[in-house]
Amino acid sequence: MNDKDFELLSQYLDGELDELSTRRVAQRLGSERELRETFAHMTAVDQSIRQVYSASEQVPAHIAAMLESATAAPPRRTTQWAFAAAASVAAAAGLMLTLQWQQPESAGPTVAEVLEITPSMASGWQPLADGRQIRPVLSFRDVDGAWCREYLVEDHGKGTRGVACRDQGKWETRIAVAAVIPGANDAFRPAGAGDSDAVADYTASRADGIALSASEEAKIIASDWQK
Amino acid sequence: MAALSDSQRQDLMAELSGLRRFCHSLTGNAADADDLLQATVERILQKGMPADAHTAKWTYRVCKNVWIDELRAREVRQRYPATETEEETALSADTVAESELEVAAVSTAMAALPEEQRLALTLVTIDGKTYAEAAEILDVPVGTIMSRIARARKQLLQLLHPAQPE
Repeated sequence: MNDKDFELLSQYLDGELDELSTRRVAQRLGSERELRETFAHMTAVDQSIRQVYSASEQVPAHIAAMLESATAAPPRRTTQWAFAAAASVAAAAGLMLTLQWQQPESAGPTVAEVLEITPSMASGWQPLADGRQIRPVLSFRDVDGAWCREYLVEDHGKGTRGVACRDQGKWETRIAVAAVIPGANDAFRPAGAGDSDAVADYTASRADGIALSASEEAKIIASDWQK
Repeated sequence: MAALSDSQRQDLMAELSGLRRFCHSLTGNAADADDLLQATVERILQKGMPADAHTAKWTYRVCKNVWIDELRAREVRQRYPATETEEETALSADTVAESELEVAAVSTAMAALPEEQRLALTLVTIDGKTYAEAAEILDVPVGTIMSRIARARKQLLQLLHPAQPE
Protein backbone atom coordinates (compact mmCIF):
# COMPACT_ATOMS: atom_id res chain seq x y z
CA MET A 1 0.00 0.00 0.00
CA ASN A 2 1.37 3.41 -0.92
CA ASP A 3 1.74 6.28 1.52
CA LYS A 4 -1.03 8.28 -0.11
CA ASP A 5 -3.60 5.51 0.43
CA PHE A 6 -2.37 5.00 3.97
CA GLU A 7 -2.83 8.70 4.70
CA LEU A 8 -6.33 8.55 3.21
CA LEU A 9 -7.30 5.62 5.44
CA SER A 10 -5.86 7.39 8.46
CA GLN A 11 -7.86 10.56 7.74
CA TYR A 12 -10.93 8.45 7.04
CA LEU A 13 -10.61 6.72 10.40
CA ASP A 14 -10.38 10.11 12.11
CA GLY A 15 -13.37 11.49 10.22
CA GLU A 16 -11.18 14.21 8.72
CA LEU A 17 -12.00 13.74 5.02
CA ASP A 18 -14.54 15.86 3.18
CA GLU A 19 -17.77 14.21 2.10
CA LEU A 20 -16.68 13.38 -1.42
CA SER A 21 -13.36 11.86 -0.34
CA THR A 22 -15.12 9.92 2.42
CA ARG A 23 -17.47 8.39 -0.15
CA ARG A 24 -14.59 7.51 -2.43
CA VAL A 25 -12.67 5.77 0.36
CA ALA A 26 -15.84 3.99 1.51
CA GLN A 27 -16.43 2.76 -2.03
CA ARG A 28 -12.86 1.50 -2.32
CA LEU A 29 -13.12 -0.22 1.07
CA GLY A 30 -16.06 -2.13 -0.32
CA SER A 31 -14.10 -3.39 -3.30
CA GLU A 32 -10.41 -3.50 -2.31
CA ARG A 33 -9.49 -6.27 0.07
CA GLU A 34 -6.00 -4.99 0.98
CA LEU A 35 -7.41 -1.59 1.84
CA ARG A 36 -10.12 -3.21 3.98
CA GLU A 37 -7.61 -5.40 5.83
CA THR A 38 -5.31 -2.48 6.53
CA PHE A 39 -8.26 -0.44 7.77
CA ALA A 40 -9.32 -3.25 10.13
CA HIS A 41 -5.79 -3.48 11.55
CA MET A 42 -5.57 0.30 11.84
CA THR A 43 -8.85 0.38 13.74
CA ALA A 44 -7.71 -2.44 16.03
CA VAL A 45 -4.44 -0.67 16.81
CA ASP A 46 -6.37 2.50 17.67
CA GLN A 47 -8.60 0.51 20.01
CA SER A 48 -5.56 -1.06 21.69
CA ILE A 49 -3.95 2.32 22.23
CA ARG A 50 -7.12 3.70 23.77
CA GLN A 51 -7.48 0.70 26.03
CA VAL A 52 -3.90 0.99 27.23
CA TYR A 53 -4.11 4.69 28.01
CA SER A 54 -7.71 5.01 29.08
CA ALA A 55 -6.76 3.12 32.23
CA SER A 56 -4.30 5.89 33.07
CA GLU A 57 -6.65 8.78 33.61
CA GLN A 58 -6.76 8.44 37.38
CA VAL A 59 -5.68 11.83 38.72
CA PRO A 60 -3.67 11.68 41.95
CA ALA A 61 -5.61 13.33 44.77
CA HIS A 62 -2.82 15.74 45.66
CA ILE A 63 -2.84 17.17 42.12
CA ALA A 64 -6.62 17.54 42.02
CA ALA A 65 -6.39 19.19 45.44
CA MET A 66 -4.18 21.92 43.95
CA LEU A 67 -7.23 23.09 42.02
CA GLU A 68 -9.94 22.25 44.48
CA SER A 69 -9.52 25.26 46.72
CA ALA A 70 -11.84 27.32 44.60
CA THR A 71 -14.18 24.75 43.22
CA ALA A 72 -16.21 21.78 44.32
CA ALA A 73 -16.43 20.20 40.91
CA PRO A 74 -15.08 16.64 40.91
CA PRO A 75 -12.92 15.47 38.03
CA ARG A 76 -15.12 13.93 35.39
CA ARG A 77 -14.34 11.07 33.17
CA THR A 78 -13.45 12.35 29.72
CA THR A 79 -15.35 10.44 27.12
CA GLN A 80 -15.04 12.97 24.36
CA TRP A 81 -12.57 10.91 22.40
CA ALA A 82 -14.73 7.84 22.59
CA PHE A 83 -17.67 9.67 21.12
CA ALA A 84 -15.59 11.43 18.51
CA ALA A 85 -13.90 8.24 17.42
CA ALA A 86 -17.10 6.25 17.52
CA ALA A 87 -18.84 8.89 15.46
CA SER A 88 -16.14 8.86 12.83
CA VAL A 89 -16.03 5.09 12.59
CA ALA A 90 -19.80 4.84 12.59
CA ALA A 91 -20.04 7.45 9.88
CA ALA A 92 -17.52 5.45 7.92
CA ALA A 93 -19.38 2.22 8.59
CA GLY A 94 -22.64 3.75 7.51
CA LEU A 95 -21.23 5.07 4.28
CA MET A 96 -19.37 1.90 3.44
CA LEU A 97 -22.38 -0.30 3.98
CA THR A 98 -24.82 1.99 2.24
CA LEU A 99 -22.61 1.86 -0.80
CA GLN A 100 -22.23 -1.88 -0.63
CA TRP A 101 -25.84 -2.60 0.02
CA GLN A 102 -27.42 0.23 -1.99
CA GLN A 103 -29.34 1.91 0.78
CA PRO A 104 -28.43 5.53 0.12
CA GLU A 105 -31.22 7.00 2.24
CA SER A 106 -29.88 5.49 5.48
CA ALA A 107 -28.54 8.20 7.79
CA GLY A 108 -26.45 5.80 9.89
CA PRO A 109 -25.73 2.15 10.36
CA THR A 110 -28.03 -0.52 11.71
CA VAL A 111 -27.05 -2.88 14.52
CA ALA A 112 -26.20 -5.55 11.94
CA GLU A 113 -24.03 -3.17 9.94
CA VAL A 114 -22.03 -2.17 13.00
CA LEU A 115 -21.60 -5.78 14.11
CA GLU A 116 -20.35 -6.69 10.64
CA ILE A 117 -17.32 -4.40 10.55
CA THR A 118 -16.67 -2.79 13.92
CA PRO A 119 -14.08 -4.17 16.36
CA SER A 120 -15.17 -4.76 19.95
CA MET A 121 -14.69 -1.80 22.25
CA ALA A 122 -14.04 -1.53 25.97
CA SER A 123 -15.70 1.88 26.05
CA GLY A 124 -17.36 4.38 23.76
CA TRP A 125 -20.38 4.05 21.51
CA GLN A 126 -21.26 4.03 17.85
CA PRO A 127 -24.38 5.99 16.93
CA LEU A 128 -27.07 4.01 15.12
CA ALA A 129 -29.37 5.32 12.40
CA ASP A 130 -32.34 5.24 14.79
CA GLY A 131 -30.67 7.45 17.41
CA ARG A 132 -29.60 4.66 19.74
CA GLN A 133 -25.95 3.82 20.38
CA ILE A 134 -24.20 0.47 20.22
CA ARG A 135 -20.97 -0.98 21.59
CA PRO A 136 -19.83 -4.40 20.33
CA VAL A 137 -18.13 -5.96 23.38
CA LEU A 138 -16.80 -9.32 22.28
CA SER A 139 -16.82 -11.90 19.50
CA PHE A 140 -16.85 -15.68 19.70
CA ARG A 141 -17.59 -18.74 17.63
CA ASP A 142 -20.54 -20.72 18.92
CA VAL A 143 -20.76 -24.48 19.26
CA ASP A 144 -22.49 -24.71 15.87
CA GLY A 145 -19.64 -22.88 14.17
CA ALA A 146 -21.44 -19.55 13.71
CA TRP A 147 -19.72 -16.26 14.55
CA CYS A 148 -21.48 -14.43 17.36
CA ARG A 149 -21.05 -11.05 18.99
CA GLU A 150 -22.15 -9.77 22.34
CA TYR A 151 -23.13 -6.12 22.33
CA LEU A 152 -24.62 -3.34 24.41
CA VAL A 153 -27.24 -0.92 23.10
CA GLU A 154 -27.95 2.37 24.84
CA ASP A 155 -31.28 4.09 24.31
CA HIS A 156 -31.75 7.29 26.33
CA GLY A 157 -29.99 5.84 29.37
CA LYS A 158 -31.64 2.42 29.09
CA GLY A 159 -29.38 -0.47 28.27
CA THR A 160 -29.86 -3.73 26.42
CA ARG A 161 -27.26 -6.46 26.37
CA GLY A 162 -27.57 -9.02 23.63
CA VAL A 163 -25.91 -11.64 21.49
CA ALA A 164 -26.33 -11.77 17.73
CA CYS A 165 -24.95 -14.50 15.51
CA ARG A 166 -24.11 -14.41 11.83
CA ASP A 167 -26.18 -16.81 9.76
CA GLN A 168 -25.74 -16.82 5.98
CA GLY A 169 -24.46 -13.27 5.95
CA LYS A 170 -27.14 -11.87 8.27
CA TRP A 171 -26.82 -10.98 11.95
CA GLU A 172 -29.68 -12.44 13.99
CA THR A 173 -30.31 -11.61 17.61
CA ARG A 174 -30.27 -14.75 19.75
CA ILE A 175 -30.85 -13.14 23.13
CA ALA A 176 -31.36 -9.58 24.38
CA VAL A 177 -32.16 -8.48 27.92
CA ALA A 178 -32.39 -5.18 29.78
CA ALA A 179 -29.02 -4.30 31.26
CA VAL A 180 -27.37 -1.63 33.33
CA ILE A 181 -25.01 0.50 31.26
CA PRO A 182 -21.56 0.15 32.77
CA GLY A 183 -20.83 3.48 34.41
CA ALA A 184 -17.74 5.61 34.33
CA ASN A 185 -16.09 3.61 37.09
CA ASP A 186 -16.67 0.13 35.76
CA ALA A 187 -16.64 0.65 32.03
CA PHE A 188 -13.68 -1.66 31.66
CA ARG A 189 -14.89 -4.68 33.52
CA PRO A 190 -15.06 -7.80 31.37
CA ALA A 191 -18.16 -8.07 29.24
CA GLY A 192 -20.70 -10.45 30.73
CA ALA A 193 -19.43 -9.92 34.25
CA GLY A 194 -22.23 -7.57 35.12
CA ASP A 195 -25.94 -7.56 35.58
CA SER A 196 -26.97 -9.38 32.45
CA ASP A 197 -26.60 -12.88 33.82
CA ALA A 198 -28.86 -14.34 31.17
CA VAL A 199 -26.59 -13.09 28.42
CA ALA A 200 -23.48 -14.18 30.30
CA ASP A 201 -25.02 -17.63 30.76
CA TYR A 202 -25.97 -17.76 27.10
CA THR A 203 -22.47 -16.81 25.99
CA ALA A 204 -20.86 -19.24 28.42
CA SER A 205 -23.07 -22.11 27.28
CA ARG A 206 -22.89 -21.36 23.54
CA ALA A 207 -19.29 -20.24 23.07
CA ASP A 208 -16.92 -22.77 21.56
CA GLY A 209 -13.82 -21.69 23.45
CA ILE A 210 -12.93 -18.22 24.66
CA ALA A 211 -13.71 -14.85 23.09
CA LEU A 212 -11.51 -13.68 20.24
CA SER A 213 -8.54 -11.44 20.99
CA ALA A 214 -8.49 -8.02 19.32
CA SER A 215 -6.04 -9.19 16.67
CA GLU A 216 -7.98 -12.40 15.95
CA GLU A 217 -11.16 -10.40 15.68
CA ALA A 218 -9.55 -7.88 13.30
CA LYS A 219 -8.54 -10.76 11.00
CA ILE A 220 -12.03 -12.25 11.02
CA ILE A 221 -13.61 -8.88 10.29
CA ALA A 222 -11.14 -8.29 7.46
CA SER A 223 -12.09 -11.68 5.99
CA ASP A 224 -15.81 -10.78 6.12
CA TRP A 225 -16.37 -13.43 8.81
CA GLN A 226 -15.39 -16.21 6.43
CA LYS A 227 -12.65 -17.93 8.44
CA MET B 1 0.90 34.74 41.14
CA ALA B 2 -1.74 35.24 38.50
CA ALA B 3 -4.76 33.62 40.03
CA LEU B 4 -7.08 31.53 37.92
CA SER B 5 -10.74 32.44 37.93
CA ASP B 6 -13.19 29.96 39.43
CA SER B 7 -14.48 28.99 36.01
CA GLN B 8 -10.93 28.47 34.75
CA ARG B 9 -10.20 26.21 37.72
CA GLN B 10 -13.37 24.29 37.07
CA ASP B 11 -12.52 23.91 33.38
CA LEU B 12 -9.05 22.77 34.28
CA MET B 13 -10.42 20.23 36.76
CA ALA B 14 -12.59 18.83 34.00
CA GLU B 15 -9.53 18.37 31.79
CA LEU B 16 -7.40 16.58 34.39
CA SER B 17 -8.38 12.99 33.55
CA GLY B 18 -7.75 13.45 29.86
CA LEU B 19 -4.58 15.34 30.64
CA ARG B 20 -3.34 12.52 32.87
CA ARG B 21 -3.85 10.10 29.98
CA PHE B 22 -2.01 12.47 27.66
CA CYS B 23 0.85 12.66 30.18
CA HIS B 24 1.04 8.87 30.37
CA SER B 25 1.26 8.49 26.63
CA LEU B 26 4.01 11.11 26.52
CA THR B 27 6.12 9.76 29.35
CA GLY B 28 5.48 6.05 28.93
CA ASN B 29 5.09 5.34 32.63
CA ALA B 30 2.76 6.25 35.46
CA ALA B 31 5.24 7.89 37.83
CA ASP B 32 6.58 10.31 35.22
CA ALA B 33 3.02 10.96 34.07
CA ASP B 34 2.06 12.14 37.58
CA ASP B 35 5.16 14.35 37.74
CA LEU B 36 4.36 15.86 34.35
CA LEU B 37 0.73 16.43 35.30
CA GLN B 38 1.74 18.11 38.52
CA ALA B 39 4.33 20.29 36.78
CA THR B 40 1.72 21.31 34.22
CA VAL B 41 -0.84 22.28 36.85
CA GLU B 42 1.83 24.13 38.84
CA ARG B 43 2.94 26.09 35.80
CA ILE B 44 -0.64 27.11 34.97
CA LEU B 45 -1.30 28.10 38.58
CA GLN B 46 1.90 30.14 38.65
CA LYS B 47 1.61 31.86 35.30
CA GLY B 48 -2.17 31.99 35.00
CA MET B 49 -4.18 31.77 31.84
CA PRO B 50 -5.46 34.62 29.62
CA ALA B 51 -9.13 35.27 30.28
CA ASP B 52 -10.02 34.52 26.67
CA ALA B 53 -7.93 31.35 26.41
CA HIS B 54 -9.58 28.05 25.55
CA THR B 55 -8.79 26.07 28.68
CA ALA B 56 -8.33 22.66 27.04
CA LYS B 57 -6.11 23.92 24.24
CA TRP B 58 -4.12 26.12 26.58
CA THR B 59 -3.62 23.30 29.07
CA TYR B 60 -2.47 20.72 26.54
CA ARG B 61 -0.12 23.24 25.05
CA VAL B 62 1.41 24.01 28.44
CA CYS B 63 1.69 20.29 29.12
CA LYS B 64 3.45 19.73 25.80
CA ASN B 65 5.85 22.59 26.55
CA VAL B 66 6.61 21.30 30.04
CA TRP B 67 7.34 17.89 28.56
CA ILE B 68 9.59 19.32 25.83
CA ASP B 69 11.47 21.26 28.53
CA GLU B 70 11.84 18.05 30.50
CA LEU B 71 13.13 16.21 27.44
CA ARG B 72 15.65 18.94 26.79
CA ALA B 73 16.70 18.76 30.40
CA ARG B 74 17.30 15.07 29.98
CA GLU B 75 19.21 15.71 26.77
CA VAL B 76 17.00 13.37 24.87
CA ARG B 77 16.71 14.60 21.33
CA GLN B 78 14.51 12.23 19.39
CA ARG B 79 12.44 10.20 21.76
CA TYR B 80 12.04 9.09 25.29
CA PRO B 81 13.13 5.47 25.75
CA ALA B 82 10.58 3.15 27.29
CA THR B 83 11.11 2.81 31.01
CA GLU B 84 10.21 -0.44 32.67
CA THR B 85 8.24 0.02 35.83
CA GLU B 86 8.85 -2.13 38.87
CA GLU B 87 5.63 -4.06 38.32
CA GLU B 88 6.62 -4.88 34.77
CA THR B 89 10.04 -6.19 35.70
CA ALA B 90 8.53 -8.19 38.55
CA LEU B 91 6.35 -10.23 36.19
CA SER B 92 7.87 -13.48 35.04
CA ALA B 93 7.30 -14.44 31.44
CA ASP B 94 4.93 -17.31 32.11
CA THR B 95 2.63 -15.30 34.36
CA VAL B 96 2.09 -12.57 31.81
CA ALA B 97 -1.36 -12.95 30.27
CA GLU B 98 -1.95 -12.26 26.63
CA SER B 99 -3.69 -8.99 27.36
CA GLU B 100 -0.73 -7.82 29.43
CA LEU B 101 1.60 -8.74 26.61
CA GLU B 102 -0.57 -6.68 24.30
CA VAL B 103 -0.46 -3.73 26.70
CA ALA B 104 3.31 -4.05 26.90
CA ALA B 105 3.61 -4.32 23.12
CA VAL B 106 1.44 -1.25 22.57
CA SER B 107 3.35 0.76 25.18
CA THR B 108 6.69 -0.22 23.67
CA ALA B 109 5.51 0.57 20.16
CA MET B 110 4.18 3.97 21.27
CA ALA B 111 7.44 4.73 23.06
CA ALA B 112 9.37 3.95 19.89
CA LEU B 113 7.52 6.62 17.90
CA PRO B 114 9.29 9.91 17.25
CA GLU B 115 8.11 12.46 19.82
CA GLU B 116 6.35 14.70 17.31
CA GLN B 117 4.34 11.76 15.93
CA ARG B 118 3.40 10.48 19.37
CA LEU B 119 2.15 13.91 20.41
CA ALA B 120 -0.06 14.21 17.35
CA LEU B 121 -1.41 10.66 17.56
CA THR B 122 -2.09 10.96 21.28
CA LEU B 123 -4.08 14.15 20.91
CA VAL B 124 -6.24 12.75 18.12
CA THR B 125 -6.56 9.04 18.91
CA ILE B 126 -6.52 9.04 22.70
CA ASP B 127 -7.92 12.46 23.49
CA GLY B 128 -10.33 12.81 20.58
CA LYS B 129 -9.06 16.18 19.35
CA THR B 130 -9.69 17.14 15.74
CA TYR B 131 -6.71 17.68 13.44
CA ALA B 132 -7.39 21.42 13.67
CA GLU B 133 -7.34 21.36 17.49
CA ALA B 134 -4.17 19.25 17.54
CA ALA B 135 -2.58 21.66 15.04
CA GLU B 136 -3.40 24.57 17.33
CA ILE B 137 -2.02 22.84 20.42
CA LEU B 138 1.19 21.75 18.68
CA ASP B 139 1.48 24.97 16.69
CA VAL B 140 1.94 23.30 13.30
CA PRO B 141 -0.18 23.24 10.11
CA VAL B 142 -3.12 20.81 9.91
CA GLY B 143 -1.42 18.98 7.02
CA THR B 144 1.54 18.28 9.29
CA ILE B 145 -0.75 16.72 11.87
CA MET B 146 -2.30 14.56 9.17
CA SER B 147 1.02 13.23 7.92
CA ARG B 148 2.47 12.73 11.41
CA ILE B 149 -0.54 10.66 12.45
CA ALA B 150 -0.42 8.56 9.28
CA ARG B 151 3.32 7.91 9.75
CA ALA B 152 2.76 7.04 13.40
CA ARG B 153 0.00 4.58 12.53
CA LYS B 154 2.11 3.02 9.80
CA GLN B 155 4.96 2.40 12.22
CA LEU B 156 2.59 1.02 14.87
CA LEU B 157 1.03 -1.37 12.36
CA GLN B 158 4.44 -2.57 11.27
CA LEU B 159 5.37 -3.25 14.88
CA LEU B 160 2.07 -4.71 16.08
CA HIS B 161 0.80 -6.39 12.90
CA PRO B 162 4.04 -7.18 11.03
CA ALA B 163 2.21 -8.64 8.02
CA GLN B 164 0.63 -5.23 7.44
CA PRO B 165 1.52 -3.08 5.35
CA GLU B 166 4.85 -3.39 3.57
